[in-house]
Amino acid sequence: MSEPTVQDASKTTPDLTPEEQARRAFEKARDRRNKMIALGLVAFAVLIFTITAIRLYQNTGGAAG
Amino acid sequence: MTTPVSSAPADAVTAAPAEWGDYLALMKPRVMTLVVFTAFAGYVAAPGSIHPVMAAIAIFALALGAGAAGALNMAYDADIDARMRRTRKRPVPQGKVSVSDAYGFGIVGAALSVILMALSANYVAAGLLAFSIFFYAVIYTMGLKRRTPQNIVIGGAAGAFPPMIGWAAATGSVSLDAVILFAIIFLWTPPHSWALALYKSGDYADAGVPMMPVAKGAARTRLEILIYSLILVPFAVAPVFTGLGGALYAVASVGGGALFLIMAVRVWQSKAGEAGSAEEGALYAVRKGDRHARDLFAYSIGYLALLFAALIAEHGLGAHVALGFGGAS
Repeated sequence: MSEPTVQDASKTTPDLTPEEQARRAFEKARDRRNKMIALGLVAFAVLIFTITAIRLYQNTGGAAG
Repeated sequence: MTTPVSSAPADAVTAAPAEWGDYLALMKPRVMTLVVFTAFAGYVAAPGSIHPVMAAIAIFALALGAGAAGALNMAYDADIDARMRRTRKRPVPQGKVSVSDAYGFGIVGAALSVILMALSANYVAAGLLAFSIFFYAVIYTMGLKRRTPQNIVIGGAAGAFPPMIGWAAATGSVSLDAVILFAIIFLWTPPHSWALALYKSGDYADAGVPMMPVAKGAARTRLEILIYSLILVPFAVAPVFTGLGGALYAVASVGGGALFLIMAVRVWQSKAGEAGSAEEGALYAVRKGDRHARDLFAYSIGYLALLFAALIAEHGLGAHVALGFGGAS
């Protein structure tokens, strides 16, 4: 294992209180969750679009249903 | 610009924040795997098909629906899950996901899954999916589980729907063969669940859940396991006589069933369940006297997987060799 570098040390936030650190961790987790929800909504829209495209293709005689 | 202090609830700041993995755990991924597998078998075995991309979306919708039902189950059962060693590490009793978030996740997931199923397959499959979610979350979880030792006998219907839904997705209807696949899982559920309950009965007793070993005792449970096994094993051969199952399925159902019966007889002759629960919380942790119950529980999963894998091999990989019974599907 290598010794902690200066860059590693810069990541620590010794001036934050435990409560502030907990709040930051909470907010980061909440951001991650929000991004996952957004990703889920985009995926749902893509699925609906895909279904629509296939139905259109089938109903216009492009392929046997 | 700084974030306002009031943007997060005070208690939430100190609680461990939920990660995406916690929401995945909420969906009972192990159960979801079996649901997808049996549904896929039902779809492949059915005499019909839809566009492969539509089929993939339909199977995804079913997995989402099963996961949503699991989330609703965990939301409602948070209190008893916290009292059972086997379930106390689930996200809700751990405080990683709140009860209201679990309900929200379950309701939204259920709605999206039914919509996706209706659009990608048909209304019959979507209706069956909606009913199975309702059956598991409301009839079983909220109605039966805490009231009667027959909880998993009736509630087992919820887990039996997937192959029927897969069948309906492919054909737009439900036939005798689809009902037979439903009945196989329905009859399989009691011996499977009671084998687990036998060596985890202390857990269920602590939580106040009237599982068969808690309400009627271990000896009665071992007898009921044997009775259901004697009904299940011959019935599981039924697809051979309707033409749904071929030679491979016949070998799997007869050979696998014989082993199932041997293990059920061993459980019946054993003292499994007499000593209460194992101390450890792991699913397969067991006291010495309960070994046969643990073995039957583990094997029952393999047995069901074997039956449906045989159907997939016969209908999906062209390994179907008709034995001359019934009409070929």
